[in-house]
Amino acid sequence: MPNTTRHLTIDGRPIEAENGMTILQAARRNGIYIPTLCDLPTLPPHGSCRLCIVEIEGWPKTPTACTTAVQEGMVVRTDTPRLRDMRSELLRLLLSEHPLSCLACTEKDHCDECMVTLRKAGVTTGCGSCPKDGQCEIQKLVEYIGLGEDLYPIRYRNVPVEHEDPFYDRDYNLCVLCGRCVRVCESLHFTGTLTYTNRGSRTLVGTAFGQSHLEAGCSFCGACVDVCPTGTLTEKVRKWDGVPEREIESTCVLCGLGCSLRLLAKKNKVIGSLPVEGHLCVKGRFGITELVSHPYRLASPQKTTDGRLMAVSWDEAIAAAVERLSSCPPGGFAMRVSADLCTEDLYVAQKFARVVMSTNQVTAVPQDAYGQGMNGIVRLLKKAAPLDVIEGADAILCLELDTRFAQSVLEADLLRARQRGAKLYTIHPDHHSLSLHADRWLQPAPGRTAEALASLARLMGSEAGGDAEEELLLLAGDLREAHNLVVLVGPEALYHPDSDTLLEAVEKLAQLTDASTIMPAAEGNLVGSLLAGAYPDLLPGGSAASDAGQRRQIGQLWGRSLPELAPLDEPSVLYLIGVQPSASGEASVIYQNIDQLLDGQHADMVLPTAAFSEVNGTVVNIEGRVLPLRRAVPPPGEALPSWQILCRIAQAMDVPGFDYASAEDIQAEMAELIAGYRPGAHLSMDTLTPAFQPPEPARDASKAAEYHHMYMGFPMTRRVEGLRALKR
Amino acid sequence: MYKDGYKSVFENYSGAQDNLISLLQHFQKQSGYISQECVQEVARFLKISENHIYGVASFYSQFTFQKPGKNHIKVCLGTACHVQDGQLLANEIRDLLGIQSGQVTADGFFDYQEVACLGCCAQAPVVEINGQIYARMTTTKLMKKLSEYE
Repeated sequence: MPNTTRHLTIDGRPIEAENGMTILQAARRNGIYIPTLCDLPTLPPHGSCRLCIVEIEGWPKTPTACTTAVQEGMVVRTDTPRLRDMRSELLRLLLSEHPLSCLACTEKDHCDECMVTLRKAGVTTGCGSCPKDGQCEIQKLVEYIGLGEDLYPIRYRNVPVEHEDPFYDRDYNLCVLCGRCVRVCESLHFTGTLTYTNRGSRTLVGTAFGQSHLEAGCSFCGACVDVCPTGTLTEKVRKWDGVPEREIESTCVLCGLGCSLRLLAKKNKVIGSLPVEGHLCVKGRFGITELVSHPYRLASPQKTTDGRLMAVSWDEAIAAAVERLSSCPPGGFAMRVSADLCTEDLYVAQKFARVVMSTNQVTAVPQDAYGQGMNGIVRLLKKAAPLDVIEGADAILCLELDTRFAQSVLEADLLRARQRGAKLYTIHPDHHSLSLHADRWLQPAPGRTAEALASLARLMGSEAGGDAEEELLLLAGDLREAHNLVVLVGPEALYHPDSDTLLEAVEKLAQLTDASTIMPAAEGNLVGSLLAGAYPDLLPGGSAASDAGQRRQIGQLWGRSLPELAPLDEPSVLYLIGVQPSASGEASVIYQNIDQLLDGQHADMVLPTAAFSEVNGTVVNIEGRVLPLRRAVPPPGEALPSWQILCRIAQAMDVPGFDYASAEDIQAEMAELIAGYRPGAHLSMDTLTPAFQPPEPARDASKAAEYHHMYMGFPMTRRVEGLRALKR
Repeated sequence: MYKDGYKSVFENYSGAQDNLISLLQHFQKQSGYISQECVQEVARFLKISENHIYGVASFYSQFTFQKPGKNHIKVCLGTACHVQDGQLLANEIRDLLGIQSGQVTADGFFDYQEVACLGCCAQAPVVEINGQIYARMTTTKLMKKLSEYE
């Protein structure tokens, strides 16, 4: 076995490193600081800023630590008077193209206190009001290296600041051309939106023909903004919020992938969201702040008095809710819940309906959206593969999956697989983000995807070619050759009126080719809503509501016999959690949400609830992983987590079994019905039963596109302005 | 699949990413510039982003993104021409055509470039119009010459 360990000395300390590591990596691993501006551990070395120069005994020059591999017996010095001089000179040269009054201003020390020069200088000339002030890596480097006396005159580029794209501004007058953004776009996200244009002193980071990022194919994942060491790329919403006070790790609920994220909080406000490692999509990176920190969030309970909604205290609101609910017959109550809520909320909601109101009429939104496809969805979820099967796939088939915006996290995985040699096939009626990269793009007529897929499954099943279209035959041939096929079913495919045919074909195809299937659904907690039993046809744990044995067992746990499945009469009380009331209807509506009603909508009671960034709880992603939500900030005003509101009402109605003190209490009860339910668990979804009754009448699929970007029943574009610019 | 005029060219290439520069050279020679459409088609063929192609092409001075004018004017500002007041000729043309070096008039009739040396210093200052060298130019002679093209 070859010896892979190398011994070297850095600053007099003997150090062991692995062969192939760079000096910088070895130093970092041993806690030795070498200044650098362009290097990031996640990116390939670049060697452009030159600040990491080191002295190596026996070497005539000063190589950069980030591009020099370790060698046996090397003696490295990272901090000598000669290096300090050279670094200071390098920094001065870098700063000759970077306005630096934030460093040189004589009034800097009094700035925070007296603000004598506040924004006297324009933002671009870099006075203390540079949006990156206090978070800028150049400031830190200057502190470490020192500038010396003589600064070079600044060569101001005088290019216009680019404001036209949503979410972030670009001021290339501040750019030091470290290339982090170009590299992160190209080598981590494979989007290739950013490039160096021109050369020499005219080099700038930009796009083809000076297009906006939107035109240039950007997915707005924000990775470039995250890695920018200067104020060149800054998030619009967070621009003047300064340094966050704390970071809380939580989970994004804006789609079913459940990416981990860091919520940045200052005072009692979420001011930003960043990926923990890897990626976030545009919704998770730029959508959350405006959504949860919006000033129009509901902050106090309201009750309709004389035709107008008036703010009331919680006690009054609970009393009013109890009055409405206790006069409501069991057949006249219906509850609708959003699948963006945490599982604890959904569990308590269905228990509320089944125990307090003695009805099974609790429906999470996906059932309305997917209708007859629900059973197919459950069957696919039961077999859902973990996302990392993409890493081992040799062929990937994507069904109506557009990974440009909402699923851009997957795009990086798919393109990395393709670069590794996996074949990428896509079936999509329109031009989409994968059509450039796909090895084969089958383009059925709009609305004919299910048909195309059904013929494909038929073709794969029979050895004889038949008289199918050439494209289809070619694709079938390719798929037959795949050993390790992964099929991804895009969220849009689920809205088709014939989604049941489509999902059946997927199942058949997966069976024939022994493929893994992944279904990145649009809801944050679709699986949680199924496991919690937030559907008339499903009980907690995922068994069928028609199963009398299960009903008895759950009834024993709850100390109350469960109602039998009964058809819904015309409801007289409609309890909506994270769902919009429909325009018409005679029912009395209790509207529990984070945001105000839309114009023209009516509710008798409005109860303010907490957003996902304000609760402790769990969601279950499409792989079956139980992911934690952590409270980053308190809810606005008097708003409460949804389960707490329901428990208060139940307690006021003297129904036992709703005295949870925390989300953990609810988790403990759920764990008795959902095997292994606890944060961090990877659940088997085998207990889910495809017990959904087909809807009557067949549902209208026209709102599919809108449904795609919803949170708590609202299109995200209502509050997140930038999203309006992204024509889906 | 590909737009007219591109498919026949692409047939001679494998589609590997290192085809990029020779493809760009081909189209630069064929149309005198790299159009936006050309970048789009090459991007589709090589499966790389348009931005990446633009980055490569803008690095090399052999590629231009500007459709050339019908007539090409070059003014030499090399050492000899500089000493002989070539700058006056350059100023004259800029004023007359209302464009800077590297630009094309709005009607696409002239393009104009200031170059370092045309290699005939003995005849400085020189101006080149459509490949023809005009020696010992003065502003009067230049005006007269250009009026022949109007």
